[in-house]
Order: sequence, then C-alpha cells, then structure tokens
Amino acid sequence: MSARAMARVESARALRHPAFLVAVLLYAALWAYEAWSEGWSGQYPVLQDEDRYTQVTLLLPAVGALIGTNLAATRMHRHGAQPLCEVLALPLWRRTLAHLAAAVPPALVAAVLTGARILYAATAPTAVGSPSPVELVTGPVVVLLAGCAGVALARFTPSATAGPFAVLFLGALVLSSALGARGMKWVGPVGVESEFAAPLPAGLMHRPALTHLAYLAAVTGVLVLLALLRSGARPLPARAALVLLVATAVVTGAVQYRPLPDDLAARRADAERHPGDRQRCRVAGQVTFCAFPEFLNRAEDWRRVTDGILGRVPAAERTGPYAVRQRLFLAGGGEGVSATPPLQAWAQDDTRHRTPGAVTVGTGWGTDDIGGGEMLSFAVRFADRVVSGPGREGAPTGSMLCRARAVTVLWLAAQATPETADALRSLDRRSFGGVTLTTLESSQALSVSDPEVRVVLDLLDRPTAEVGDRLKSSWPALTDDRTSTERAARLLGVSAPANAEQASEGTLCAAR
Amino acid sequence: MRGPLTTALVPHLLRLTPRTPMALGTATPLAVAVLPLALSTHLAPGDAALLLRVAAVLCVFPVAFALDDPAADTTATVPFPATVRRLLRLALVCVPSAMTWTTCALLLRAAMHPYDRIALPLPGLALEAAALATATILLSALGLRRSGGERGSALAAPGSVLLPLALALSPAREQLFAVPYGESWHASRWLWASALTVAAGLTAVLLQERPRLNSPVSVTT
Repeated sequence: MSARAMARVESARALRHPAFLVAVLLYAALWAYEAWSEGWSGQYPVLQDEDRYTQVTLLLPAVGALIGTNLAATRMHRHGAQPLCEVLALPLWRRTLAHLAAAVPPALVAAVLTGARILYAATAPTAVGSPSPVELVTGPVVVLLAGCAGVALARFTPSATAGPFAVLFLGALVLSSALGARGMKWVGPVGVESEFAAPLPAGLMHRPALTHLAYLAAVTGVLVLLALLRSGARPLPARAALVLLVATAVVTGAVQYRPLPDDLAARRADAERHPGDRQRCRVAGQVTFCAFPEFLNRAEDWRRVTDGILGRVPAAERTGPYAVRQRLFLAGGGEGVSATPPLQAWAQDDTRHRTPGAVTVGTGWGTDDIGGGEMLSFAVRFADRVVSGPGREGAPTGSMLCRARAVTVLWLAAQATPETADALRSLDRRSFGGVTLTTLESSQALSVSDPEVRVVLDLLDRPTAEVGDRLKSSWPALTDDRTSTERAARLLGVSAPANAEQASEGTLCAAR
Repeated sequence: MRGPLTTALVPHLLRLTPRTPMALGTATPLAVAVLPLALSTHLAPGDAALLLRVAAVLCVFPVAFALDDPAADTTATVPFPATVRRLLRLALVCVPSAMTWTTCALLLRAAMHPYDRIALPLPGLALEAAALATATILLSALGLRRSGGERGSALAAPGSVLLPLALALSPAREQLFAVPYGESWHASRWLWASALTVAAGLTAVLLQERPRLNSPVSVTT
C-alpha cells in the first residue's frame, strides 16, 4: 500500500523533475524550430522512415528520465538522510520498486510525443507510406529503459557523476551505430540507418524492429531485476528471472544481426529489375506516372516538375506521351558512384508495361542536399527526354550535355519549381567545374560543364516568362548541341563567360 | 599579500578537485583518441574531427564539477574573495582538461595520413571545445546561485551532456558541427565564437561574489 503511494509521489516528481522538463522543452524547441525553418512545403515525409526518426529525437527525454530517476533514487544519500531510512517500515527493495514505477510516466509522455510527431508527419500533404507500430513503440521503450537504468545505477553507486556519465555511454552506443561501427548497430537503444540510403517500400525493408524491441525489453528487465536484487529483494526467484532475462537479451541481441533472408533478397532483386510488375500508374495530362503503390501520391510532386518543364516547351515540340517510372537501385548510395544500373532490364520492363523510354525517378525526394539532388536529377532527366526525344534510357552510361542543349536542358529543369532552382544553386556551391547528376547514385549520369551552369544561374535571376519566350522563339537553335554556349546565352538574353569554348576542351563535348 | 595566500590555497583546492569526474574525463577521451592509432587506421579528416568533438564532450565533463563546494557555508567566512577561489578551482580542472583535449588532438592527428593532417583545423575545433566548456561553467555558476554556493554540478552535469546532445539532434547540426573547411565552416566558427563570448560574459557576472546583507553563516541549534 505504502509502496504504491510512494510510486504515485515519485511518478509525479519524475514528471516535474527539472532534467526531464528541460529535455522535453528542448525536444519541443527543436521540433518547433524544424517545423518553422522547413515548413510543410519543404517536407516530403516517407512514413516508414519517419517512424524510426522519432526514436533518435526521443533520446533527449530518455536522457532527462535517466538523470531524473537517478537523482531521485540517490536523493536520501545526497541530503545525508540515508541513515534515517533504516527506521522506515518500507523495505529498500519496495522503495526501489516505487522508483522503478516512476520511470513509466516519462515513457508515457514519450509515447504521446511520438504519436504527435508521426501524426504531424502523416498529415503533411506530401506524406507517403505507412509507419510501423513496432518502430513507434521502440522510442518510448528506450525512455523506459533509460529511467530504469537511472534507478539501477543509483543502487550500485550514489555518485552524482554516474548518471551523466551513463548518458555519455548511451550517446557513445548511438554514435557507434550511426557511424556503422562493426557489430554495434543494434547494441545500443537505436539502430541507425545510413542517411544516404534511399527510402524503400515497406515490404522490402530489412529492419529487425520486433527483435530489437524484444532486446530492449529484456535489457530493461535485466536492469529492473539488478536494481531489486541490489536492494535486497528475495534472491532466489529474482536471480532465476535475471538469468532468464540475460539469456533472452543475449539471444535477441544476436538474432538482430541475422543476414538478409533469401526470399527478401529475391523480392528486392525482382523489384529492382522489374518494378513495373509491382507498380500502379496514374495518367496526368501528357505524362503517365508509375510508382510503388505506397509512393503513388508522390506523383503530384513529380507532376509539378514535369508541368513546369513542359509549360516552357513549344506545343509542337512536346512529342509525348511521356512516362515517369519509379525505380530502385540497391547498389547505389553513399559508398561511391560505381555500379551500373540494369538499363537493359528497365527498358524491357518499360516495353512490357507500355511505357517505353520512361524517365527514372527514385524514392527519395526533398529539399535537403540529398533529396534536392534527387529532385534536380529527375528534372534534368525529364528535360533531356523532352528536348532530345525518346530512347535515352538505354543509352550508354555516363553522358555529357553540351553547349546550347546543355543550357536549355539545365534551365528547363532548374526553373521547373523554386525548389529545383534552389537545388541547382546548392549543388553548384558544392561542385567544382560543373555539375554531375547521377541516376539513383549509379554510374549513369548527366554532366554539364561550368560555363553552361554559369549561364543557367544567370538566367534563373531573370524573369522566367521572358527567358521562356526567348527559348520558344529560338527552340531549334537552342536544342542543337552544335550551337555555341555564347550564342545560346545571347539568344536567351544574357552573356556567356569569356572562356566558354575553352572550358569544353578535353571533355566529351570537344569531340562532338 | 594576495599572491602568497593564493599559493597557499592551491594545495587545499587541489585536494578538493573532483577526482572521479577528472579520472573519467581523462581516461575516456584518451581511450577514444588512442583507438584509431591502436587499430592502425588512417583516419579521414571528417572522422578525426568527429572523434575530437566526442573527446571534447568527454573532456568538458569534469568541468561541470569544478565549482562544487559542499562546505560553502563554512568557506563563506574565509578572508579571501570567493571569486578568486572559484577561478582557482576552475583553473585546477580546466587546465588538465585542456591538456587532455590537446593530447587527444595530437593522437588523432597522428592517426591521419600525413597528407590529410592539414585538413584537420585544430584551432577551429578548439573553439568548439572552449565554447562548450564555457557553457558548462556558466551552468555551474547558475547551479551555485541556486544551491547556496554548494553544488553547481546539479545543473552543470546534466547540462553538459544534454546541451551537446540537443545540438547534435538540432536541424541546424550541419551548420553548428560543420565539416572542416566545408561550405558552412567559417560561418559556424563565428557562431561558436559568439556563443563563447556571450557565455564568458554571463559567467563573469555570475561568478562575482554577491554582496551579503546578513551574516554569512547562520548557526541554528
């Protein structure tokens, strides 16, 4: 009875503890800053990824809970009142149990924060996909684990150093996972994925979320029992349970590292080579958009780009119908651009699904460096398809856009939306000697030399309608890659850099 | 007069330095920094900068405990300005911490390929560590005000781990913890320098001895 009363009091104190309150306020402040600085217009959430992003931010409340419960469990010692506890009727293990119960309310607060966060992402008009309940539960369980860790630690040492240092240890585990340290990905509270990896349809993902949840639950149980045993709980049943939970933690910890199952690997390979079999299509104007079902709403965002490009092309030159197909390239990513995409298989897949020459679009989309790059890359591929006609999807890997055509394609792509214009400016700041836009981080790419990029950046500062009219009136000359960059710039109303022709010497453009 | 007194005070303050945080704040960053050398790994500049940032957080940890004075009620009567005593306490912790950070920096630099070493901007990274340390001292000074001069660490210790975590999770993390010599490197240095200046100014104000209106020690029976 009195243990329950103490649990109630400690629970209320845990929620009011300055460390937890500050952590929750910091969480709220960071979220508000993110919402304010990016807004809904700049967000393109993929909910099967957003669910695990909620876990990392919950590390703040977890830290608050750990420090709060640790300080609460060492309160008597810090106030020099420990000897007085000897006369209390409530045994130490029951008091410890009350402190452990006080770790639950912060976890409930974390659950509310997770719910609010995923709801916020899901209500964005640009949201696609669906979240995993297991991933959503993981964050609050991490907060519960941290709270229990604070109490367990207090039963081993009353030192004020222990709590904050345990937080540093927790941070080191998360950092090791984020850095991809060998064998460390799932040891810590959160399994962090590579930020360069493109989103996948939920059915093709390989995250042992349920096993990790079981592992975290087992570790939490171990901490609870350690705290109780140190506090003098009945040793025999508690020890037996401890052994069982340690074994569970070890087994689930090891199972998390099982390799990619064969059937999933086969499904992934099939989705990569023959995406059309699993996709649905939506026709909008002259363009057919095909995507994995959970990404089909992204067609609206792709359409804004394609409409922005087609609107600047003379009506007679729109040799549609056009097709856009979402594809995966699993060998792409942050490990360097080297792998060749299965262009042949893609071309056959397009023919089979009556979308010949479909322009590739990935699963990534956004306004940050990576998402913006994907967005601009797609816009350039689509503009290139519009300017040069069908058949380029099967072209040899690696290609250089030259002179007037480079200016036309890049300007059409960049002016399509304000976001594509920003993406080009950002990419230009990060590039040297022109820009290269890869297809899904593969070896297939379209490159544009620096003088043409400079001309396009100048054009972006001029009224779009005026440049568009000039483009329409000189379309044949501006889409011919024998027309010089100087002439293209003159026709569009700007001046070209002095060294425009010399810059193409030694490149593929010089041979044309 | 104050010079000899200060010298006389040093051994006593040295005895009061927080030993456990000092030991942890020395051993763990050195372990982090020595690992790449032990594994004979050639560190990339970005990875070396990241590890040095981690080492900085660990080095700053003991600073949170530097101003703790459990006997504040008694030492209030000492005929020596509290500000000077606090500065001495800080020096006794901050100097070893700075030395640990420097050792870490040299170890990590040694683990890099000789051609890459120029790409590790030690002064810029030292600025981050200094700003973090100053923010921790500021929190400690605030903690002292709230605990009657006894336990600055009650606020500074959680703060010293929450602050870097919040910065690392913030949407502006790429601007704050910028890639060395990357796009936002120079702008981020101004940001850290500004934070350091503001924190140092506030700390200087908070560390001043407050005028006592009543007797410094109240004896109750």
